[in-house]
Amino acid sequence: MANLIILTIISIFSVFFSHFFKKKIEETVVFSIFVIILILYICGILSILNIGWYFICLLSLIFLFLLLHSYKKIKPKLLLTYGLGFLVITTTISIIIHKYRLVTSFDEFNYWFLAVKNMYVNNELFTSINSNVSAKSCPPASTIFHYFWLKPSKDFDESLVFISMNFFIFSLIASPLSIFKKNQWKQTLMAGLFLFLIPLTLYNYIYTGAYVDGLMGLIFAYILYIYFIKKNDKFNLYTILLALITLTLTKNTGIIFAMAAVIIIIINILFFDKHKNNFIKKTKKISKK
Amino acid sequence: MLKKSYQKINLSKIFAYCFYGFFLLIISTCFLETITHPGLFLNKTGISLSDLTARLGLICLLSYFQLCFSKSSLKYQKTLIIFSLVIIFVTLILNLIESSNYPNFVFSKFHLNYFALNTLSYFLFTFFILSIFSNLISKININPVLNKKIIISLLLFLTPILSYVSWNQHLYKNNIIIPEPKIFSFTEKKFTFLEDESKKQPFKDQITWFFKPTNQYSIYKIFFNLITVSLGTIFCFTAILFYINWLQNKKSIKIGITLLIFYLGGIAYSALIILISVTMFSVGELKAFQGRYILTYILAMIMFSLYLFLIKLNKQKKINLLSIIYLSILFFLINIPNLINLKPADKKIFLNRKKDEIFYQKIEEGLKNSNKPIFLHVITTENAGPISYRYFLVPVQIISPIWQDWDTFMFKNPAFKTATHVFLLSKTTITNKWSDLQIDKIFKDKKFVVNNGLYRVVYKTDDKSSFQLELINQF
Repeated sequence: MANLIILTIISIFSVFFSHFFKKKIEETVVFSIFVIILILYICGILSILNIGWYFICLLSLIFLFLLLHSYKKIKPKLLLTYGLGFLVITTTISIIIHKYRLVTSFDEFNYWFLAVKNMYVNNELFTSINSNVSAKSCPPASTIFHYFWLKPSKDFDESLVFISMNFFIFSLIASPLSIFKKNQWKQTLMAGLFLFLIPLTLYNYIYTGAYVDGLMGLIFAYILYIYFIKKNDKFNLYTILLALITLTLTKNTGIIFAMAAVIIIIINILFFDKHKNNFIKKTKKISKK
Repeated sequence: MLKKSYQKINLSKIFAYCFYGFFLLIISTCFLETITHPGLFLNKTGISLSDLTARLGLICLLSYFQLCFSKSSLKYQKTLIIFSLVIIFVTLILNLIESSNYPNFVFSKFHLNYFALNTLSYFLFTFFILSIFSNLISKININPVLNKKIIISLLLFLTPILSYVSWNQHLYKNNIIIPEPKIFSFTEKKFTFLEDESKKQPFKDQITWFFKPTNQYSIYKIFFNLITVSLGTIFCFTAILFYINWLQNKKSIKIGITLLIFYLGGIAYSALIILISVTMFSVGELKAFQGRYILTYILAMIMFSLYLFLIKLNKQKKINLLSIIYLSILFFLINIPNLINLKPADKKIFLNRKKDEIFYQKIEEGLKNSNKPIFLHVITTENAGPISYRYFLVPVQIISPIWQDWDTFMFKNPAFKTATHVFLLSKTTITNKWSDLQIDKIFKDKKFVVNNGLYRVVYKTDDKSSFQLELINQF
């Protein structure tokens, strides 16, 4: 039930952003996750984490209303994509394989699941006095997303944490599939396979654990992918900014990777990016006038 | 002259040699370490040879992708593919030999300089606001394109810094961290949160300690650092290669420079890891550090290269099915042990754990009235045994568990002296190990939670040097 509620909320967010920014749904799923994390992070810092969750529910209802209001304008080609297929398949598999999964490793007991459990029980960030987490200084991006997924559940269900983690990773790796067209199923199949297996090769536990090291690498690469491969419009700029926030707040070392990504992008913006950046294009037009 | 000399360099040949060298370095190190310290990889450090070879295979593919993208000569493409096939074969054999039981270790925290970032962010934020509202930059620079570029750059630069500072500010407000600038000093002792012998010394002495041949830790540290140095070297070589490639082929300037910065960042990151591993981490932590942290960067690099490759793939109207099948098989073979781990979770284990959880919850309910802290201690050979209790007992306030040998450590612990309850895995542990009058005072007021009951210590009437546990409550 919790899976259903959360997936519905994320779907509404994604469809709304897809409709609003005219982007394929696999690109807006990860954007929605970043937005949700940011909202809950702000609410968590203000000690209103619980209200943050209900605020997201309210937002999803508003988005749903707006979508229903303009349902004729929704383009099916933006929604029925290979990326969505990849997400549906992988999430379904994830729900099946994680049904009875339990925490077994040291750091998950010590921090990753303990922090989520504290947040679930106390409805506040694990930095509160009521929390018995020892590593309270670790930033909360991933645990916030787990909390978001667990919130509608009656009990603390460990499998939901695994599923939420998988969904976050799958949404990140599904996004590049948006470059393929409908007739390129062979290429998409090959790309999907690589995207799924390469993180697994480096991190054996990436799909069966809550460690965030692999996730950080994926967000880092995703930021560069958005900048170098996608057209640099406003949506992609927002995605980069949100991804930078999430990356910084994923772990203490996240800021190193975020700054590395920023340096790479800034060097390119200042010295090599002459034509692709839309913001710069606009200013060029103005200057010509 | 210079132009001619770099144009003569065969990039793919250097690439191939680099990877051969890297492979030989890793394998020979592992081989030497296995001979000199049997069981090092599997039992002590948890480093798996098959993991290393699988990753090496992946790096070969990375080079393949990047060769494709950088429009270099693909003369050595076949060699790379054959080489990766050999690696896969080695990986499979090693996988059969190795066990998958890795030890677990605690992580040290890693904080950046809070004050420096804070000041920097305030400065940049002020500059950013000024640049937007007063159009300060346009007054200095007439070019509007550059203005936009600077504003976007600042926005990108500020975002992670402000996020980081906001989190640290939150921690500071909640008294979780007291921001103290951690200035690296060569002579003074600054890293107070360090654990083992080396960490108690100033950096200068740590270096001397590090290379002491009698030091049992140094051999592991050297081994781990050697792997990182190898990676750093490979980053360095590849950076040079991409620089040469950029000089030769200026068409791919943007990506070429990006990859160059990427690799230079890799060198800096490797250096940072070595510095931290020498000064901060114990051997156990090194395993987790080297195994996980360095891979974050490598994963990002590989994924970025893959994205570039996907673009290339997208532009191809016809794709070679054979190459798809080959690459698919390659990845499946590398990932066989990992894919097996993705099998559905065991229901039996789940049900047993749920029973345990109910038991822990009953303990929690029974202890709610206790005002004193509960001291948690468990002796177990199970993976993550001691820590799991704390996890189950959320939200009861429990002092951090201790997993070292408790005979000497525990009795000195001031927290244990004030505690009221001690958690044990079995009754035999306490009666066999602690039958000593000297510890009478320590056990006198304490209650023990064992299996399904709450116990107290009772001394035998005939032999006062030994004691047993008497049941108070059954949960």
